[in-house]
Amino acid sequence: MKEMTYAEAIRAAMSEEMRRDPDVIFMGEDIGLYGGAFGVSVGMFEEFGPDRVRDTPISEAVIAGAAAGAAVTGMRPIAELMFMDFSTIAMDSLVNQAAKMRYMFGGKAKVPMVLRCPAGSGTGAAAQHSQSLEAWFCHVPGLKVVTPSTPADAKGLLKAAIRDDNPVVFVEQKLLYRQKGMVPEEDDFILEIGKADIKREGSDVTVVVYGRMLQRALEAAEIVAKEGIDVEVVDPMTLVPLDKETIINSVKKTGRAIVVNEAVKTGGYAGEIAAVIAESDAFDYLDAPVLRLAGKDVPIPYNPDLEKAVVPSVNEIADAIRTVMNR
Amino acid sequence: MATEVIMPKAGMAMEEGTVVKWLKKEGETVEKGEPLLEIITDKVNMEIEAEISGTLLKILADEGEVLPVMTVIGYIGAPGEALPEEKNAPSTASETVVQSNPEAKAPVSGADLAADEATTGFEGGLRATPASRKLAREAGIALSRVAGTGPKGRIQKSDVEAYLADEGSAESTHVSALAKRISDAEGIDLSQVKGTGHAGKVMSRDVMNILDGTLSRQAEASDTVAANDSYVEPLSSVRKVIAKRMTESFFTAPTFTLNIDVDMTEAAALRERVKPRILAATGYKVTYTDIIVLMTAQALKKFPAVNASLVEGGIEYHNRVHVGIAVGKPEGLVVPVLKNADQMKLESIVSASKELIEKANKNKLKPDDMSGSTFTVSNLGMYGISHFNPIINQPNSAILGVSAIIDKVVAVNGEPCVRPMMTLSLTIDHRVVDGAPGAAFMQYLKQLLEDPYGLL
Amino acid sequence: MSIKKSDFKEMYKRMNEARAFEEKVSYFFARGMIHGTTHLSVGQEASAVGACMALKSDDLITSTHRGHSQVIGKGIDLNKMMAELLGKQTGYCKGKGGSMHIADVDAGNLGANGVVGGGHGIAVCAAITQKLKKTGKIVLCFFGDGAANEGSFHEALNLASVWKLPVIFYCENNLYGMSTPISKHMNIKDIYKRAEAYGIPGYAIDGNNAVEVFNKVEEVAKYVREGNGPVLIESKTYRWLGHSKSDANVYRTKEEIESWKEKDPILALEKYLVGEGLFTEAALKKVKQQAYDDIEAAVQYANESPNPPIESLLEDVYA
Repeated sequence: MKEMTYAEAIRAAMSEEMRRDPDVIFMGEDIGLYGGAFGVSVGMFEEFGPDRVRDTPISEAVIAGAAAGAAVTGMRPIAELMFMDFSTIAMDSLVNQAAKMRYMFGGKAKVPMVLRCPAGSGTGAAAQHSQSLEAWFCHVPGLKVVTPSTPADAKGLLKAAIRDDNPVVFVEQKLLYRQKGMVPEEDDFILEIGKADIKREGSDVTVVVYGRMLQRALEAAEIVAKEGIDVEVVDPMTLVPLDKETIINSVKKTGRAIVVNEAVKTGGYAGEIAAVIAESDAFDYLDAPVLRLAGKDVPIPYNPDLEKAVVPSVNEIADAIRTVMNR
Repeated sequence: MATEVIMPKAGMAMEEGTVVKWLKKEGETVEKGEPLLEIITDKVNMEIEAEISGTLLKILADEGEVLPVMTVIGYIGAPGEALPEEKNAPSTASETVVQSNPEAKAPVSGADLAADEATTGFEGGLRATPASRKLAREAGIALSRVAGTGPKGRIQKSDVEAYLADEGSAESTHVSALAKRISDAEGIDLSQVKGTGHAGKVMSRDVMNILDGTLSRQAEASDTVAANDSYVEPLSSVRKVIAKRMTESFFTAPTFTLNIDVDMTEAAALRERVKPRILAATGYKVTYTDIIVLMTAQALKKFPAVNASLVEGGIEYHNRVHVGIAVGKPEGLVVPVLKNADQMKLESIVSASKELIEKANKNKLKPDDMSGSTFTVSNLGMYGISHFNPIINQPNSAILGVSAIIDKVVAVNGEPCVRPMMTLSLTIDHRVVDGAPGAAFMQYLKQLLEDPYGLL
Repeated sequence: MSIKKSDFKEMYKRMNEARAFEEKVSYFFARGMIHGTTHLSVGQEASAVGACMALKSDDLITSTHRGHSQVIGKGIDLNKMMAELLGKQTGYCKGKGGSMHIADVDAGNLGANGVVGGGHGIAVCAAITQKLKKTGKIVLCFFGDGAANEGSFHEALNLASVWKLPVIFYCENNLYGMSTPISKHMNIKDIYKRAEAYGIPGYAIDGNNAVEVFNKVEEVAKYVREGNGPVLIESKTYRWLGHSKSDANVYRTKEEIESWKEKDPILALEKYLVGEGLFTEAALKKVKQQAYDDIEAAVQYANESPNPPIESLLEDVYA
């Protein structure tokens, strides 16, 4: 184990896989000498050279398209979109091409690519550089969607994503890039895609949370613990495929569920998770309505106070926990 | 779709009504406007006419059953037509029950819970969490009986748990009021009765069937006795206590019994006179037992020797008069105690004793209700008994046996005359009371009953 | 050449305002007073201001993430602009847009854009409106060399050409798409040559020469306004500072940066104006001082402005 940042963990995952498998290549805007807009790939250009770490023009449509094309012909490309917001430009390549090739070709193709998407607000980058668009991709069969929330998860899941034979949208949290954590150094440290992690065990309320909101949920859990409320925090880690069993079992245990995500509430994945709970066995165990805590239904504003108010805060999560406990 | 027959709201203030009599049977046809059933409201009896023509498909309310207005009590439709899911709670009444009458817990069958769940639109429906619903379903509790403590009165799992804890070994069957009364009276365990009413509701006929079955089994049992000589039924715990107490009393106390005949003409007149007023005030009818308890309490005040106990170190003469009333139940005798009966007016005795008897019938008597008696009254008059020797309820020193009031020809002022006559029997513990004070007590009691106004 | 003396004065002033503005933003940013990121246009003032000055005041522009000089060139209320940078209620976007989204739709500024190539389509559509409504206005679409590699560039040029729309596609080629030199992101040196592929005229100009910029844009604007269809102009220039405030400039040399600083567009204009005998140095110094004073006033205005109320968070999502 070694302490590293979320960004370093992602770099380690990519580098390890590139050393292991010559078919793994990495491309994106300013990922080479510049080291990526967030410094994630610093040093990789020097190690792997311009053939395998490829700076692209500012051409998102073709970045994703090229990744799909490379993948279907035997490479394992990792493509970085500088901001998840720019996935809009790459949508056709991803949604109509990469996601569907295998199925519409009758299972005769595989598309082992990873699209890394730095997401989330909190950086002051305003409406076009702050979005959390994971729900869009969850809505496209053929894509897997992974949302790591700690350095170790990022490393283990990215390695798994690179080895996966399907297109994986890997949602990174810009604000977590500098967060530190202990990360296994072993080459074979792989986390299973589609497996949730119980980040905190508890008996009273289940908080299902992923991405940047995890840390806030854990803090909220500590606050309400002083009030005698024992919170279980479940991090699905992968949104598609979703580890329904872990979530449902947790809710069956606690009887109360809150789903927290940063993305806007309407049409967001928190709603999907809430629905999974509601239509499952856990329904009969619910002792309170399932709550969603999510971003306000607005674009991310520039003003820092407004920007903070958009996404769920620690206090709001704690209040929601109290609400379902009727406190 | 079958049309509902409901308990109609026949007046602004009417909240519930009693089904007196169904004028049609299930399966019979009715014409629109034809009398269908008779109900009694808080004011009057009235006939309810069918609102449509058709076949009376289902009767959901037993005769004698008291139901909130708007309750569905039956269905009229085409023969063989399917009934809608039960909606036996009025759309506005459930919450009222939850709010105002949390103690009124009636057990309910699982199927009935579907109806509870069907009323969750919150236009007066039930607000309850899935967890509470599941628990209630498993425990066979009607959610409408559980008071919700959650937001907006929502019933939480913890509320059902509290209800269950409070309820203890709750009976778990949905029953009609009449069926409940019969089963209470006959000591039938309702949880063992399979309901044939709508949604598995236990109806009086179901209880009667069980009762018939029991009787025939008893008949079979006696046949078996003939064949096998005898059979042993293990003693119930109540039976054991009674056996022990009676044996102790019988073998420790040297007793004798004094009988006296009382002319109940004036007492009967008194009863008739006060009956309407007391009914209005308490909702209960005044009984002869009430009058006898009233007079006995007054007499005991005058004859403390009869209101005494033998204790270590001597005889304890009680300053207070606490009259035990023997209540026979199928499983055995219980004696709830009317505290400070000598301080009570007739009206108070009526309501207090009825409440005790009701509690006894519902097995709701608490230890407090059954302790501290200083004297006991046992009335077997309703069985036509002419006289009997009751056994003293220790540590009392005496017990009064009340027999039937029977019209007899007696000489009044030398002329033969028919009078309602009743025998009172006082069994006395001779260790405490001698014959003379006992006899004087009886003479005084007779005087009070024959001339009630003498008290004034 | 139709440029008047008063136009030169205004051009010089706006270029200095742009420079002063960026210096102030840089100062604030370093002190954490400006939130988020910002892309400074120091070195590109002639390219941006010169182009805007050649338009009519009611012509339209679409701007870019590196757009401060562009919108100042178009003529803007510096107070509102500075207030927006500081996230204030009085800002152009009520504090919701910030550096990358300065817009003044009423004044013909259709907005800076955070998405590279995001303005192409908007410019085309705005031009359709002008053509159908016969407003006589034209649209100038600012974009960078990097955006010339987005699909939207090609789609927009093709469509505008086919429909003969009144658009000037104005590429500010500052040689780097973020960190990537043009040599690594396209196989040609002159972006204007792409015009040929779409059947429209294309020109290259020295983007650091304000007078040249003005003259060419003025000429092209006349051509476009007459209904001859779009034109592509490549303005060759250079940004002195990093792509954004987080850029360490590892991809280019100090020498290269210094060599471009010697081609400072403001100094070049000063030399020209004094050399032509249009203004004295003292007169220009006064104009420059006024520009810096105006920026100071804007800072004061912005600082004294209130933050947007938290309730405003939910406003303006829908019309």
